[in-house]
Amino acid sequence: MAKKSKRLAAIAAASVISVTGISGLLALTGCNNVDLKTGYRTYTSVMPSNWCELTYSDNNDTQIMNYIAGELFTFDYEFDESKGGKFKEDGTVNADAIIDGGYKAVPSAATAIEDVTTELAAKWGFNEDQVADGGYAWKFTLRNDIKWDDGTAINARDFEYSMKEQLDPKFQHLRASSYYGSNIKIKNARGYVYQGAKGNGSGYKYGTSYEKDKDTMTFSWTNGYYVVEKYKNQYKPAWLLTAGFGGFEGVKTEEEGEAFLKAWEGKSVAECLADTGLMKTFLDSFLVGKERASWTAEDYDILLDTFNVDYEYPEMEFSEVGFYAESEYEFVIVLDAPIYALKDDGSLSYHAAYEFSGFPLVKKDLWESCKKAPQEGATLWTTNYCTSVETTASWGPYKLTSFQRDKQFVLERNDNWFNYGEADYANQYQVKTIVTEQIADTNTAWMSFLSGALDEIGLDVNHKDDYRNSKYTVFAPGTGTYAMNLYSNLEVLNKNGRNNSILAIKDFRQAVSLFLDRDDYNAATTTAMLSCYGLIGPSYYYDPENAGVYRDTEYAKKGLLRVYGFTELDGGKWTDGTNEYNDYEAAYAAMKGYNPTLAKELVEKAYQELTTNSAYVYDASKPIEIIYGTSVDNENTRRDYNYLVKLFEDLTKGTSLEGKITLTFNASYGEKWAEDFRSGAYELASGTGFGGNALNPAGVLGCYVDPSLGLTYHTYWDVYSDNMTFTMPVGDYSESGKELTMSIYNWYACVNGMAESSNDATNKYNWSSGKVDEAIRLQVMSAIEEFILNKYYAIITTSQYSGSVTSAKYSYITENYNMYLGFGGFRYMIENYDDEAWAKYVKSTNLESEYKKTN
Amino acid sequence: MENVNFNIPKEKFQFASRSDINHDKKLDTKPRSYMQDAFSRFCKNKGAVVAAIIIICLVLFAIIVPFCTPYRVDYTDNYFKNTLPKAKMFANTSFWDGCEAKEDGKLSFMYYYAMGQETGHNAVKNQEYKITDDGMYKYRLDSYHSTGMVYMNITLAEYASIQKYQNEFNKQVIYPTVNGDDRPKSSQDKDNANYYYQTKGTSKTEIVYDKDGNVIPVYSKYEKGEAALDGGYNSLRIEGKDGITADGKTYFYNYAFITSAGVEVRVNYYEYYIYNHTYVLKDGITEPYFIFGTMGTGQDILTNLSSGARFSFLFSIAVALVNMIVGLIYGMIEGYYGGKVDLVMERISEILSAVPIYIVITLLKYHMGGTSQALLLFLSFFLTGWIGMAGTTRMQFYRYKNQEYVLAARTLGARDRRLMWKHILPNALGTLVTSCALVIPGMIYSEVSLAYLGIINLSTGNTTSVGTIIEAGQRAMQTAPHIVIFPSVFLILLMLSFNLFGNGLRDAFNPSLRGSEG
Amino acid sequence: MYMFKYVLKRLGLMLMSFCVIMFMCFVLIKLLPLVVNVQQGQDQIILYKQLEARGYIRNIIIQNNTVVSYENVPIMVQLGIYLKRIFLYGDFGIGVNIYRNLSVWDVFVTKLPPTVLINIYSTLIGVPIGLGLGIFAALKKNKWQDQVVNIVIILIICLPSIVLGVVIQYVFCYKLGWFPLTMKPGTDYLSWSMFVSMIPAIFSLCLGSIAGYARYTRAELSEVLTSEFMLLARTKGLTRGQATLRHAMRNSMVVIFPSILAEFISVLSGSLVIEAMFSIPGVGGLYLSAINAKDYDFFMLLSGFYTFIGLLASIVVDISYGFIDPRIRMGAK
Repeated sequence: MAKKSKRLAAIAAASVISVTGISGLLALTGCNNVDLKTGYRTYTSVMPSNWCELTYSDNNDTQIMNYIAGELFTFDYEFDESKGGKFKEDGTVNADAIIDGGYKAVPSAATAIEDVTTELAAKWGFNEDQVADGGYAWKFTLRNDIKWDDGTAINARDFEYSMKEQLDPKFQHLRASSYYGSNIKIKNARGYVYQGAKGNGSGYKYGTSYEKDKDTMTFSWTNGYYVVEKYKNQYKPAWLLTAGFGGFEGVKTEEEGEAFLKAWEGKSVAECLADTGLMKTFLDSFLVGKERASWTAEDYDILLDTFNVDYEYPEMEFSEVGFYAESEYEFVIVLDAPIYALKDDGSLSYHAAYEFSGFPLVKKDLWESCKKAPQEGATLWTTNYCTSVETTASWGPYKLTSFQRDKQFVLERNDNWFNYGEADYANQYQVKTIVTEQIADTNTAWMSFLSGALDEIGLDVNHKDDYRNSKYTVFAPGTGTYAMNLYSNLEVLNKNGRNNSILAIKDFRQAVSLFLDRDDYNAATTTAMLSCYGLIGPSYYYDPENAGVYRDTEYAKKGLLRVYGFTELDGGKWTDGTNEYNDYEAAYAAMKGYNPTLAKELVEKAYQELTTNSAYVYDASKPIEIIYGTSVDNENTRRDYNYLVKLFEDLTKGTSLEGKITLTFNASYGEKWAEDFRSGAYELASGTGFGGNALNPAGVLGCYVDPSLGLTYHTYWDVYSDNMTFTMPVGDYSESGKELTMSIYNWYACVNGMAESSNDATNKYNWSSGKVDEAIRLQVMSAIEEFILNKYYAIITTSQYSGSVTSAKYSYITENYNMYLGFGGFRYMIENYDDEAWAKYVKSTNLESEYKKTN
Repeated sequence: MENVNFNIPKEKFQFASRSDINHDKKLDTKPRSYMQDAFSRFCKNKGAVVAAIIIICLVLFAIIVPFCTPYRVDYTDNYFKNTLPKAKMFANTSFWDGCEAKEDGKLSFMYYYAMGQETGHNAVKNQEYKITDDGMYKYRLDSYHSTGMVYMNITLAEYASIQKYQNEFNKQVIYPTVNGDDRPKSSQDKDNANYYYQTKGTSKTEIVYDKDGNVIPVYSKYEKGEAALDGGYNSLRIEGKDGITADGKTYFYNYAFITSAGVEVRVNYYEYYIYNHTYVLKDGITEPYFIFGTMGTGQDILTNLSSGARFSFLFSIAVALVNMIVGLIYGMIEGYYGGKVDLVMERISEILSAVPIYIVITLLKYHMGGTSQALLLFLSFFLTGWIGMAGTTRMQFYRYKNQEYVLAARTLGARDRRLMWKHILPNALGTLVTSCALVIPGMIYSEVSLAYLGIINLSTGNTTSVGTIIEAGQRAMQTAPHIVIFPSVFLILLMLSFNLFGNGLRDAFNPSLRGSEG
Repeated sequence: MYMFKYVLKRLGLMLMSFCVIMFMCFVLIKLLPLVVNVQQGQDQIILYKQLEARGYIRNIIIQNNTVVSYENVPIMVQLGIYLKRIFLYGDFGIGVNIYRNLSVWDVFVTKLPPTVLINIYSTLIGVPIGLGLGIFAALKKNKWQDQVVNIVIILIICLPSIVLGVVIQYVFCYKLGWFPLTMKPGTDYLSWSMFVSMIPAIFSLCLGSIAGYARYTRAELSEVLTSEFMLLARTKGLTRGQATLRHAMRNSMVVIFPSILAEFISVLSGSLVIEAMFSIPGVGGLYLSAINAKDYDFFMLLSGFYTFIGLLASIVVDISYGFIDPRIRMGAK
């Protein structure tokens, strides 16, 4: 009997051993078969899903897009002729001759670019000074040998066809706004995309003017509000009675006001103007002291401004849009805002290779086959162009040869690319294939890298100490600057019942900024970041030609000194209240933005203001509650929150607010966190970042003062009426030496050359780059930055900085970061080992210690 | 079968009197209730007893340790991050001594080696190292001193207080500072206080060595008699009272730079930590000493683990009880009555269990705003937790309800409720107890994945949980495995003991096993 | 005959539950606030127009080129459109935030095989080992083998899968180099090299279930071994092995079989962690990202998939009781 039970136990044990054995056996046969993929191997945590230039949604999609599209103009290094120029004798690229930080714009797919503003002035209605300025219309000449990867020829008509598809109203492509909403503003592009769309707003602003459309525009009464020019403040009929008009006969009460406005709904503006009754008295009372006969077109437009009209974008042919092919290899682009693609000496400026680096291009037959009609209940067409290998066509240096969703994609050399034959590209593009695998787990990515299966990896906080000094590590600054936002709209703060109206007092916000030790804050809450004091980070160039960094200019430094509690004495000396410095450089070195004694004084001052001025609703018996709102509840937001709790505790210690302020954490806002902050649902939003084009520091200011970009978090700040007074520096331009007082938005619009086309800028000066000399622009920019910082709505804390480690298989041509070319990209990457040599190298070396070697 | 006569002698017979009628003998063993019987059977099972002891130790660990450690759960530190575990008694061994074996290139090695040369606090343990044949340096890096020096902006008052501390306890906290343009040029190193020597390179920093391979200090100094730039420093000086003489002149070092905040000083963070806690905060912390090491945020793992364990115990017991009660009742009714009742109740529990938990939690988070995460976690476990228990109970009831003895009890007229409680439930108790015993470790287990998916984050102020620590440790497993080891060991002990304890309980409560213990 | 009627009834009920659940899911996801986050350089109006095109919002009021207000299409109307789209055109909708413009069905179908494959392999390897260990431990109850097996089980079961996965990956793939660190790309799912590249992931998944099976089997078997009918079987002359296999195992299957099914389902949705670690292009993480991104069509398809499998499994489990233990009639009075 015992024997049988043994046999049974043996059976059970046998089944266990056999199964583990089998899989063990399997394992042995496959041992050490870490299959090293060919070419350059990189990884991503999120794979691209739709890399079509017309519809791509975010940066992940650009991982393929950047390599399958050619460029009209591109950047290249500047090579020092005295060191032997670009090529050595053996034909390889001469890395030592690269001028650090230098660059030049060179033609690629386009051979020439010509300013045709004067020729087209008549057709497109440019006035004399626009023609004098130039830069509104450009003609591009293409090479005649550009082909798709399957050999089909490309000419200017393909570009015209692609732009027409990009702006097609039936599709409403996501990227359509890149050609009317940002630097490039093609004439009538917005009208073409919006055609047929109805809108509602003050007539004067939106492509309608009294002369042309007075008959079609109808007066409108929108859901109980009479909306006037400043759309944010929607007025009820009461506006008629109190807004300085005191009403007029026949309209003395709100009901009468409402009846009066309703009676005119749907009537055309012309009929309103022709009326002789109540409407006439209203209109005349509007333009007091001016006889109707003497009204100019300007008066009508301003009047129109007060009317709220339903407008409808008219039907439009693509021929009316400023983008067309003039001949087989030439196409023309006509703009609303000028772009200066050529320098005075006729050579290409950086704009040529930046704004005009390329326009959308789709392969006609493939694009047509990918179109899908709207589904049931939907109204828009969709497309799956560029979402798989079959639906992708390339005219760039690489082509997509395999794509497995959420796993891996492979780009291989596209031999039909027009530049491969060029002499200037000899011995470059040594990388033949680029294999990108999706690895979401950083541990796995590091193990792949250290076993030779990856050629680059980002330096995260856990590996920073080991690889910081390695000879395989490179560092690069980012353009993002991050800030802590304090909600300061008194109206809303008074009503939110959290007793925190003190936030509306500037002194209190300045105290919080002065009490923040940025070095300590960044060491505690961020990984590899730098402390930052200004809106514009250290990687912005005001003078790209010779790498002039905005932050290092005298004006930028003086601006910050004034913001952080320094005052200038006569004779160039500066003082921070306790010590004296003999020049602004010494003062700037000592400026840490951290002055606890001054901060506590400001808290005391703010407290006095809070308790004496009745405008602030404050109940001394209740605590002041400030909500720290965020979209996600994780280790980083918690660490940031804990740091700020301690900050408020220490700030108020020894002041009359000691122990009064409580900071509560709330992560329930999810993706709506931005909208909720703007509406005042919570008061402290930390770690919000803005980054812009590294060559246009003035543009970044728009994130704070240009409401139309829709980015600013402080929508309650009326930038159209908050005035700044500044004496213009002396120079050879019309406004030199004058003391001007304009709205902060107006100053921003002038320094970016947008005043002319913007309806909210009353003064139309144009100080954009190239119009006035750089020193003047810098002084205006630093004055604007100082004005914004002095509001202390956004307290700047951090600017981006990151490192990455490369493998031994490939190496960059230079270790110095260049603002356009990074470290040389795939064009200049040097292949040290081909695939077989690399496999042998990996077997023979311990990569973990190799990558820790320092030079 | 033959007739066997036994001849029993007469004198053996006695007359019995009425009084000693032979009733049943009084039971000489004390009456043993069901519980006592179960307890005695439990004690015989050695494994279960050991498990019970382990559980008691873990519970005591969770209760007592938070009181006797000076650190609080939410105490964080900017520089003692991922510090390795250190026990004083293992100080000179290479196990549990807060050090890590390293193999680095010359530049990284010298960066740490130079720290010891300046302050005597050796980042390279005992300044011992070996050079391998391909030029790499092998040494043990002390994670308590690897931070070295730090630039700090302090007020004049704090500056004076540190000097008073230095004079009083004769400990050097502030060291000479370095002029702005002698500091490294690259952005990532320009604020690094450990470069007190000559360096070169703009995108990356390289050390300049003198002829015999040592670093060349470049302290900021001023000639004797000139005005010092450090806002009046009169405390311990590493260059000694009467300064150092170089090319004929005597120099003193500057120990601070005047800034808008007061002064910027260069302090040894280890010494500053002791000064800050013993002299300023006086919060009972005498030196940086983390027996289990620290997490990525600088929180002490011992404190976090013990108070996390406390939270996990309380929380899972509460959830287990609620799930058990609700599940038991629901399952009993469902299992016992069967038929239409079962179908309806099964559908309800089916629908409830099929509703995706993630979406329910996301909705709760939206509508409940900032309420505590613990309540959210409780709801997420409770909403579907009891269904599992109800399912098991229903299963058991189906299994036993047609057993012979139940039929017998019913024929004897037992009402449903009695049948359920008295007859079927004890039999089902065995499996229930087993599955219930594993709820606590199971709770921590699922807490880890909820934290990993970012749905629940418990590290609010002073509450944390074992799962949160494991999840945080998992991300840094490659470089700081010590964070995961201690909570995992805790979890293993917990699971081991609960499993054995559960088995022991099941056997104890299983009446049919009476007397058959092996 | 009874069984057939019961199965029919259960299938009917399942359909009813399925519809109720799907309706609840639809309403729940629609309750989450619709969010449009405008990135730098994008046009707010186009974003709202695209949502309008998908039938989520209507009559958008644009004032001065910014969207001032819009109206959510009532949930019932949206449900109508959704159902019409499925039944008339068999079109499950397209991705809004994730996999923008891609048909939900195609993405789901391409990503399903790896997850299903991983789970089938892990069950095929897990069940025999688990049962084997369980039987072995039950037979050697309270002897040293039992304790050893028990401790090994607990060591495996209690280490969370994210920690276990990293250890397996670090030891077998990185240090020993037996297996590649991540799953092999390509769609030749049944090829040898693909299987080898999946072994570390399979082990990480099935170790957990092995421990589960072993524990259940040991608990059930040891209990059943002491029951009377075992005594009867032995006295009738059956060998210990025959008695155990024929009677004890069959009886304990009542609990074990549903746990196998439950394990299969939980692994199906629970493999998110392992899929992220070994970069397996499965549907593991899709469900969570669909909820976070509020991608209605994706969420509905995935909810449907998981719910259907869950309900189907519960029916199979109930029916299996009947087969394994004839005395049990699920739903009997």
